[in-house]
Amino acid sequence: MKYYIVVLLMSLGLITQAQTEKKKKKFKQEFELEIEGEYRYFFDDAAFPDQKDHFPALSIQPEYSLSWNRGRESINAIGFLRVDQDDSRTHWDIRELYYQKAKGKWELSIGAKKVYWGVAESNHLVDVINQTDQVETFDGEEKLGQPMVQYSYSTDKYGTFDLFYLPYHRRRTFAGKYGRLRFGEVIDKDDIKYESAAEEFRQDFAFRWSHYFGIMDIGVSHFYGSGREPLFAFKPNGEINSFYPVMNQTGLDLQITHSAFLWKFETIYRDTESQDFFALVGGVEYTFSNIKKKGIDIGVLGEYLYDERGKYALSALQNDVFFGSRIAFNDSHDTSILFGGILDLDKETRIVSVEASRRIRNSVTAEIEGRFFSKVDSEELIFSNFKQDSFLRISISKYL
Amino acid sequence: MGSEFAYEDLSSQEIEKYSYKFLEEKGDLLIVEQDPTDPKSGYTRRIVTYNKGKGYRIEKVEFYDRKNALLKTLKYTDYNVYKKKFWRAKTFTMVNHQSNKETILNFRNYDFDAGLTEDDFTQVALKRAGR
Repeated sequence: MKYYIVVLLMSLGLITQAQTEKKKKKFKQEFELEIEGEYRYFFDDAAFPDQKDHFPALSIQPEYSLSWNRGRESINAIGFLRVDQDDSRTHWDIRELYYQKAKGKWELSIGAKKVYWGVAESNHLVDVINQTDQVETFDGEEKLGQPMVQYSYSTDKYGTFDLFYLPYHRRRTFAGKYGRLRFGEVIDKDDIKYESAAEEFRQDFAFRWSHYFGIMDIGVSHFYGSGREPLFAFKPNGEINSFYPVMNQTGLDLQITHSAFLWKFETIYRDTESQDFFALVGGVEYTFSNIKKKGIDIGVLGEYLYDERGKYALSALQNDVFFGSRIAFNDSHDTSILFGGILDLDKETRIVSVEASRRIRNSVTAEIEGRFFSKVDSEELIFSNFKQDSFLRISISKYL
Repeated sequence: MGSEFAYEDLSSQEIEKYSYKFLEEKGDLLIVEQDPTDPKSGYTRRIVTYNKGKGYRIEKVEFYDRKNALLKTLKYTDYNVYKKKFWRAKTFTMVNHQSNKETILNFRNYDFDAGLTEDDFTQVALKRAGR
């Protein structure tokens, strides 16, 4: 009899324990699929043979997440597939696939992930963790998934500390034979070598500290490893020698929010064996909100860009001014438009761009993008190759 | 985003955001005028109906625009009481009388004693939750 009571008490204990466990271990799954149809049209005659004018394309982006322990543990996955007229633009990628665990003040992520640093609109200097998915967008804002171990520690008084271990480098892909926005010579991604003998497997590290003081947000970062941006050295015979240099890069980003003003500043110092330079981008965004009580917000932006590399800057933003305007209609279609222009202060190069998006059905959005290169100075080492590559892009996305 | 709710309507309710004038009592219902202290507020006044018999829950808010014309009415319905004292509405209905548009917010799964700590409100934790 005694024995039975003990067993009963034990099992009661187990039941309550199992119930709390069950509450804790509630699994939550989410799945989303984006299917996008895209058409890019380059309306100027191609600069180089084989380049095409019309680029119909499709992309699929599935997203899955499984979380438990009240969201403190999760597995997150984002895949991506693009099929395009230009073979080099046809590609797939694991944008994210990582396990994350958070406990108290720390958070640990293991796997492929995207990490974005920075505040500026026209150039993203301090953002060094992920390789750019160069063939995907012109502005370089799409990134490839980066294998990493990320450890974050938050403190109340001293801000957030992030440590990154980056065991594998991903190469940048460039437009192929049929593609636009390329040099005369087609670059195969394997043509670009590494300074490090370990090549892709060089073990890289990065660190970031971020904090806020009243109206100011600040981030200080350091990266030591193979650069994501290849270094191009042009030989007199026109040959390009290019490689991923081992670099030390220190970055600072600041944002000050003061009434309707957003002051933004980013600067880096990059040190490699063959080149060291500093670059900065800084400016302001001012938002006129709720214009005529219609809920429309109009932001005006101005930024100055400097790159000590001068004409060798891959971004070609060596001494330029960016101006732009962001219009958010705040309507139920979430209509927004971003206009921008970059003026070279030394030469006469101008780049004008427009990006607009609007939801046209409950789960369907449309986007229009235009990039117009005008008066590209022949002195522009990089951009002179693109002067015939103004384009219009229309895309429609369906979310399932 | 095309909603009839202004940020002001959704932000936290603090005593010092208004000055108060008691208007009348209709049975259990108490009607109070609240004048925003912020000169940038979109309203001249709000007429708020409290229910004394149900833990002073808010039944209705009428918003008057800067010209003192009735602009919107917000009604809280489908109330439940949690932990015997917290009244929470499942449905918020905002009607704009000037544009004749309305926005309905539906809430569900109210959870008390969720076991959240300060660590759930760090920048890193909020980013994680918003993902």
